[in-house]
Amino acid sequence: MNEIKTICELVLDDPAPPLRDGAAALAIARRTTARRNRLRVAGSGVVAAAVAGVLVTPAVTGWQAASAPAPPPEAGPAMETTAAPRTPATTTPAKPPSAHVAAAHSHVLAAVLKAAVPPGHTVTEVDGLSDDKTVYTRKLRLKPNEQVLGAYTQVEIAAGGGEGQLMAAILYDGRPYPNGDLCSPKLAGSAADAALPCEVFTVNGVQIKVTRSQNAEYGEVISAVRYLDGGELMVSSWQGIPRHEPDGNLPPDAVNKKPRDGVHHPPLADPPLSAQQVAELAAEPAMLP
Amino acid sequence: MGVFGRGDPRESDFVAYYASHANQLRNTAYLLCGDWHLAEDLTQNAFTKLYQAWHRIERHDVLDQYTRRVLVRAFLDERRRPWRRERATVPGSADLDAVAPDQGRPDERVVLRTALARLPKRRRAVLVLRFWADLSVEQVADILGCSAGTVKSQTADGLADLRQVLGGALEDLKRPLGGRQ
Repeated sequence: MNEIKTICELVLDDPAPPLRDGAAALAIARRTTARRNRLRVAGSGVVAAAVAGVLVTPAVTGWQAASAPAPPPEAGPAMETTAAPRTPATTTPAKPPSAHVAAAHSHVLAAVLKAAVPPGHTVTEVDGLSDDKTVYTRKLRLKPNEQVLGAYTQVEIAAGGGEGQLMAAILYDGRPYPNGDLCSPKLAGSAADAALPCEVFTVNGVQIKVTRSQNAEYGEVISAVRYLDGGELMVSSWQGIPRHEPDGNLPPDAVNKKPRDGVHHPPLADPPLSAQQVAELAAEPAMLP
Repeated sequence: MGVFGRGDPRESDFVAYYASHANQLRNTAYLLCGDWHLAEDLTQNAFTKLYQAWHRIERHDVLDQYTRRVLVRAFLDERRRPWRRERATVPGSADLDAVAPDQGRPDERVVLRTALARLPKRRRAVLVLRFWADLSVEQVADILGCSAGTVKSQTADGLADLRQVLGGALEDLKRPLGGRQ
């Protein structure tokens, strides 16, 4: 098929920009590899992750223990739900769902989160979506407290001039489903996490750990964790969005092609979801791999 | 933290391999995507994956096939890069270039590039890999993760699509480059 080759050769007559040299390509490969390794996040049992410069964990962004946690807004339960602060687990599922998931599952997480956006709020952006179908092998060996981000999504919402967000992530850590008190400090990823107010909700027989924190910048953050076999599903509701802090330690050849416009909206007037609603989202079967 | 220590001789091997193959791979990427900047990204992505796998690859005669496979699959699944956000651009936005002045007859390269771009991605990849990169049906099937039969049918469909888009212009191209007017 000479004509196809001819087409290709003609198309390639288009002047090309200079190719980066080998040293630059090697430097980028090194940096990307280091970034990938950092994604095997050490620590925190709660993650609010974003990708490529927007990856954030609550611990990293200064997710602080609540000094005066706001009471959750009231909402009628859509499912059979009970809250039992500091209650040991009594209804552990016989066979907990697996935490093995591909990043492509982010689309499912996003769909469930978007369906949960409360009336009067509009979705302004959905981030973290991926079509990557790679699933980490169960042979993956992680150090204690290391977690791998399986699937993740972040849905930003707006109402009344304020902005908040809903996030969901499935993390793999290779640990078995925990028995006992889900609020135990042993299950918390850090001392700061262990200090957060914690309660266990039972939604349709599924135990969900819910923690709350509050921050002057982004208001109340409610985080619900459903433990899985080998990891956890984490859903969180943020009254506000943390201000983006640019990386001040960029390599010399890094170019920020999309600088943030500097606009940072205040938090929503009220938390978008109650603790109970976040727990119900975490118990939602559609969230599972 | 890289996969080699700094100064590791394998890094020199990697750089040497990049120097000898990057341009060819970027050309392949450009034929697939029609955008030099994206082609550069796809090429870098392929070499980064190669860098990460370098110490595991024992048979370096398979490097070419490996890098092509990474590149093509990344192209086919471009949205896997989660930071690639797509935003609507409103008319009049400063992000938009000014409208190019009409220069009469369109550039032949633009016509051909547009024709290639109108093919479905997988068919485009099959045509480029088979007829420009001169790969066998089996090699293309390996890269795309499909059967040889699928490659053959995609080839036929891609050629049919191209004939439909280019019409008689495709017949003109059957003559060698030097014979064109």
